[in-house]
Formats: sequence, C-alpha cells, structure tokens
Amino acid sequence: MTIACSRRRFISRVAALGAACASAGRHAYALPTAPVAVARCRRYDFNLVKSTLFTMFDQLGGIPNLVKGKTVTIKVNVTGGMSAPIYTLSAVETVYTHPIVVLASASLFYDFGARRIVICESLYDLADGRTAFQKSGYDVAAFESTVPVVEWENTRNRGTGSGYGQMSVPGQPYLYSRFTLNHRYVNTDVMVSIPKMKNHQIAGVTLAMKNLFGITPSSLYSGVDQDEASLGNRVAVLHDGTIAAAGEEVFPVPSTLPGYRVPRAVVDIVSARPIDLSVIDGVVSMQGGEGVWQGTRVGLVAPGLFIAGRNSVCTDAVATAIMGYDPEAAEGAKPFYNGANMLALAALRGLGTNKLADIPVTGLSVAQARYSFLPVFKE
Amino acid sequence: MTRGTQGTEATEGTQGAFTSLVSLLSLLSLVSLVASVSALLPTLALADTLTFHGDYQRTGRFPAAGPVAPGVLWKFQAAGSIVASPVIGPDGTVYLAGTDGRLYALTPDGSKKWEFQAEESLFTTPSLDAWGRLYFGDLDGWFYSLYPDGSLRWKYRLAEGTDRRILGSPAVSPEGVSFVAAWNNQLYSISPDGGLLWQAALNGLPTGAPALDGLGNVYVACLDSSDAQLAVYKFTPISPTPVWTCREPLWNSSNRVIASPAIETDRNNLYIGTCTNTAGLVFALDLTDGQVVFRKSLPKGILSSPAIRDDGIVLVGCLDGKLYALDGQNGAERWVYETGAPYVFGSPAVDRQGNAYVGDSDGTVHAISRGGQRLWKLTSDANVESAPVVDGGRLYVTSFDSSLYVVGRNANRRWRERRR
Repeated sequence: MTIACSRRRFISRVAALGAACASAGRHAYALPTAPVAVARCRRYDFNLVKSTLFTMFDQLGGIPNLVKGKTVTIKVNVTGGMSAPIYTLSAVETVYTHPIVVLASASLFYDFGARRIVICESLYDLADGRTAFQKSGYDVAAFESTVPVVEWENTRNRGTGSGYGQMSVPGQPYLYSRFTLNHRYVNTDVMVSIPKMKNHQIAGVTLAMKNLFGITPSSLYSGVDQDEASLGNRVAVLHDGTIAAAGEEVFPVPSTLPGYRVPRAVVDIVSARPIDLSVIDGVVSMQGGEGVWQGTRVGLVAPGLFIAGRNSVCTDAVATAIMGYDPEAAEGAKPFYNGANMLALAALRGLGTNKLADIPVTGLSVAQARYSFLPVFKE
Repeated sequence: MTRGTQGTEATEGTQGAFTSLVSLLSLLSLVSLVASVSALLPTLALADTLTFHGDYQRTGRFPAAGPVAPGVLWKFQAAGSIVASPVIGPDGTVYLAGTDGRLYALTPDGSKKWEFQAEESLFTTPSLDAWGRLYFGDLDGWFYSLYPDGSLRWKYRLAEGTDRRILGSPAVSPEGVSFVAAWNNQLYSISPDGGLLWQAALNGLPTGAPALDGLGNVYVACLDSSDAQLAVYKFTPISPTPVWTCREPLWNSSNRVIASPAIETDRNNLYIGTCTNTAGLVFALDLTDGQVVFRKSLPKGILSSPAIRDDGIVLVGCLDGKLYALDGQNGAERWVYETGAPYVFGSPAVDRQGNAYVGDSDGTVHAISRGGQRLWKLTSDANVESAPVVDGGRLYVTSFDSSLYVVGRNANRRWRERRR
C-alpha cells in the first residue's frame, strides 16, 4: 500500500485550516460560509445545462481560477448499478447524476483551462472506468470529443492506481481517523461532487456530502481484506460497524446503529477529503429514498433545479431547505427520521454552517425554488 | 384533554367511555342509513368541490364553468410549500393545506380567515362533509376534523407502527364517516365523532385517495409489491372485508400507484392510471365485480388521476407530457393534447362545458376545449403538479412556488399569458 498526499494538497489544507482558525478566533461561533447559487433548468439539454451552470459558476465567482491548469476529479452518483426505471423514466434520468450535467460541468472546466478531468464513481462493475461508465449509460465518446482531457476511473477498488492513498481526518473524528482511498481522490487538485438531489433512507438527504460516502473502496470497506475483485457494499463496515476498517476506526466503536454511524462517517469522509465545488443535479430525481431498492416508497420528482456552491455544507443546507426540510432539524424530525442530521454534525465539526440565514443565496431564492420532497419512510 | 398515542382527542364533552358507545351507535345507524339515505344521495351537491378532484367519486368534473379568459384575480402566498389542490366550501371559503402543517381558510377574495396548525406536514387536499366540516390527515398519522370556523372537532391518531403518513384525501360519506388510507397499509373507517369503526389491511402503500360510489362503497388502490400487481379493493361502508379485490399484473415492484381511482356511476366503471416498468396503463374496472373492462397502454407512466367528462370521455395526464382523452367504454384515443413540457404529473379537471384544465412540469396551466384544442395557457415560474379546481367561473391552481393562483376574468397578468 502506498501513502500519497501531494505537497500542493498539504499546503492548501494547512492554509485552509489556518484561515478557519483565524476566522474562529475572530468570531467564536462563526462557521465557514460561502455563496450558493440556485437556478432553474427543466431539461437535460447540453447547451441549456452548460449555459445555466456557466451563469451559476459566475455567480459563485472564482471557478476558472479554481480549475485552471489543475487536475479536477469529479465524483458523480451512479449508485446501485443499472437499475429498473422509476415510473418508466430511466435510472440515468432519475437515480444517477445525469451524464449531461457531468458533461456540461466538465466542458466548462475544460473551457476554464483544466489540465486533466477525471470522472469517478464506485461502479457496480469490475471493468475499467471507461467501460463501466459506458455500461452505466454514460456516452463516453461524447465526453471524449467534447472534453479531450477527460479520464475515467472506476473507484470501486484500486482501479488504475499502483496503490491506495490515505487521507486523515483532522481534529477529533467521529468514527474514523483516516480513510484509504483510490489514488484519484488523493492525487488531485480540485474535488468536485456532482450528486443527484435525493432522499436517503438513513441520512435523510443525499446531496454533495453524502455523495462522497461512495469514495471508500469495496476492497477495504465491505468487510473483505484487500480483495480487488470485491463488489461488496459498505454495510458491515460503515453502516453497522460490525467489521472494523483496519486501523482506521476509533476505539471503542461508539455505536453500531446505522442512524448514528452513516451521518458521522460522511462527515469524517468530507473532513478528510474536502469538496471544493458541489453541483447538485435536481432537474429530475426521486423522492423517498436513494434507489429502487426502497421499492414502492420512492416517488418521481422534477424540481427543475441546479444548486451549486463552494462550501458543501452550505450547498447541502440550501438544497435541504429547497426540498422542504429544516437543515437544522433534530434527529428524528423530518427528514432525519432514521438517523442523525449530518449537516448539523458537519457544522459541529466546523466544516460550514447549516444555518440558512447565514448562507448567501444567489439566483433563485429558497422560497422561489422550493420543491417539497416527501420524507423517507419512518422505520 | 390529553393526547394519547392512539385514539381520539375531542373538543366536545363526549370522550372516554362514551366514545366507543357513540362509535357503536354510529355503526349501527350506518347500516340502515347506507341502504336508504346514500341511495338517495348518489352525489353530494352542497358545494361544488368537496374533496380532491371535486366529488367523492373523484371524477374531476365540476358543475361550474371555468374562466373564459386567463388572468390572475388574486394570489395567496403561503408560508410553506403547497402541494395539494384546494377545496372550496359552500360559502366560497377556500381551504388550502401546506407542507408546513398549516391549513389555511381564505375568503373568496383571498384574505386569510384563519389558519390551523397540524402536528405534521399536510400533503393532501382537505375534504368536506355536508355540514362544511373539514377532514384531513398529516404525515404522522394524525387525522383531523375541524369546524368551518377552524376550531378542532377532534383528531384521531392512527395505530402505532411504522410510517403511517396519510397522502390521500379522505372520502367522507353523507353520514360523516371518513375513509382514510395510510402508509401502514391500512384503510380506516372513522366514525363521525372521531372513533375507529373498522380498519382493513391492504397489500401495499396506498397513496391516492379512496373513492366512493353512489351507494357509499369504498374503493382504494395500491401496488402489491410482493407480486408486482395492481390491487384495487372494494369495501362496503360497514365492513373491513373486501367485496372484491381486482389484481392485475404491472410487472414491477417499485412504482406504487400514485393516482386515485375515478368512478363513473353511469357506466358502472372505475378508472385508474398506473405504471409498468416501460409504459403507463389505464385500467377500467366494472364496479360490480372488479373485472377488467379495458386496459389502455400509454407511452409513459401515469401519476395523474383520471377525470371523467359528462359524456364518459376519460382524461388522463402522462409522463410523456401529454393529456390523453380516452373513450370510457373501450379506451380508444379520442384526442391527444401536447403540453410541450416534459411531464404531466398532475390530474386534469373538467368544467361544465367539458373544457379541461391541466398543469405541467414547466409550470404552465392549459385550458383545453372539448375537442382537444388549446383555449389558453398561463405559465408560472414553478411546477404545477396539483389538480386545478373549477368554481364559479374561476380556476384555483396551486404551484410549487408556495402559491395559490385564482384565475378568472378581468384579472391582472401576474402569470405570463399566451393565447392560442
């Protein structure tokens, strides 16, 4: 196993930590905040999506400088393998981050001067990234003709890397002190999370932060020991804590309840692997759950929205409010029926504020964009 | 008054031991009443709208004319989201439920009369009885009855268990008995004083509203995910044992039945829209025995509850963005109206002239003639997924921008108007 942490990453994280400390010193209770852009977009049309995102990135400011000359890693949400349609609409449209949204984002990053753009997901397939994405409904040829610097990585396990990299959780972790990850998530300059706007049975919502739950490789987080042929899920390790991730989990294990563990694992992951830009695909999606495995509990929605921001906690908080929920809601309250509020946990960690009043929102207001999702099934 | 985890809270003086006695008497009286009074009251007619989709047959057919010209008379901005359609009381009061748990009562000119705060979010259209009293359920299994002045008559907590959200408008019989479907896979019969009369197990999550026929029989639908079938149940008003259960294959185990059944008493048919994995299916069932009269395939799924015109034409919205007019006898297409939006989630409404009104996912409301031609359309900034309501020459439409729009003559132009 190799341990990799780029000098550039180290410097940027030290600088960020310094800025956060300085901020905390000035305002004892002030949490990091950043603008969140909200825009209407009702169709997965490339030109429409690209122009919408261009405007949003302009509203956020600084995106060209963020990506110019950099390696940009995009984590998308293609969860659960190719699944059945939702009310006759394909999973590509309703469950996954839509390929057009990823293509438009990557195209903009390329226009802004990104040196390399790597599209990543832990796909339910052992094939290489290009093949596995193609099988998941992504037109890889269209990507490659539009974005010549695009690369694909199936981060189910080690993938194209010679080994894994590690990223540590700064400060006091909730569950994990560090994570061992596919090299693409470690050796990058810019981390972009492009999730689908959905509910999650345990976490209440699955947005930019929860999207990173899937960066943990099956070989190490499904209860098998470095089995590169593993397609296993992360239930035994991350959800239930019945199998420890070797050397990484705090001891003693605080809880084996998924409602306790999953939100905290998400916050630990995002602490270790910060998100530089979040773009939430809320054009068409599903409510009541994150995948078709929730059966009849899920429904179809068409909010016709994008939500984007530099701070993932702020971005997720705004998206949560747009979905009709209180981003500060207590555990047990809607939509956090079956687990802790990971936004509140992230705020407690100092990653960003989940107080709507403290987040500048550009474009549409939360009230203008609101599209009430039914909450998940209460267990 | 104390709150229990199950059972009724009343604001009148007859609680405790009297509740069950009253419930029993109510049940006994219903047995005789249903056969006599209900037969004389095939439809309730005190108000033009009583519940979701107008009447308890859920026909979506309104006795009033709709607006001949588009324009917004007034708009009410709620504090939270509005997902459900409004209902209009016999005195013109507009009742509107919000996902923040507030139930609003508005005067006919849009001023707020009162608001009531429920325990949890409201995703359903309230229902009215013959006395103008309100009935509605929330996401946490509370079922409420209010007086027309907004004061609480009683509230009943559905049995403990897993999720017991109420997503469909209750059906309320002429005698004031409510039929409520909840996500604990149960259909409840609640007495006029808020006591449990009976409950019946369903094989799936009921999402649409139960419907009543002219004899007070109750119909409710769900997807039975265990065998991927549509399950439509018919109950008499007095028994939890189904008269019949129609089971038809849908070949999918995840797309629950969102739509409410619509009943055409003249033709003795029930219509409901559903989904397979690849297509929408409209079923027509015989009310007497539950046999399939026809099944009509549409290109995409159907979340929209059918509306039935006075000539038997069935209108249904589809996720291909179109409104279909089908022959009520055999399902043949009479016309297809293309909204231009990707999806039609909502249910159509029909006015006295047979003109149809439907919203789309682009936020546009379309007025469509009997022959399927556009009369006018109005576009808002947010999705229109609720069913429009026609009352007194006005169209009442809720939009995802937390607003109720009242469309009628001589109005200003807050929505973007596009004539044909």
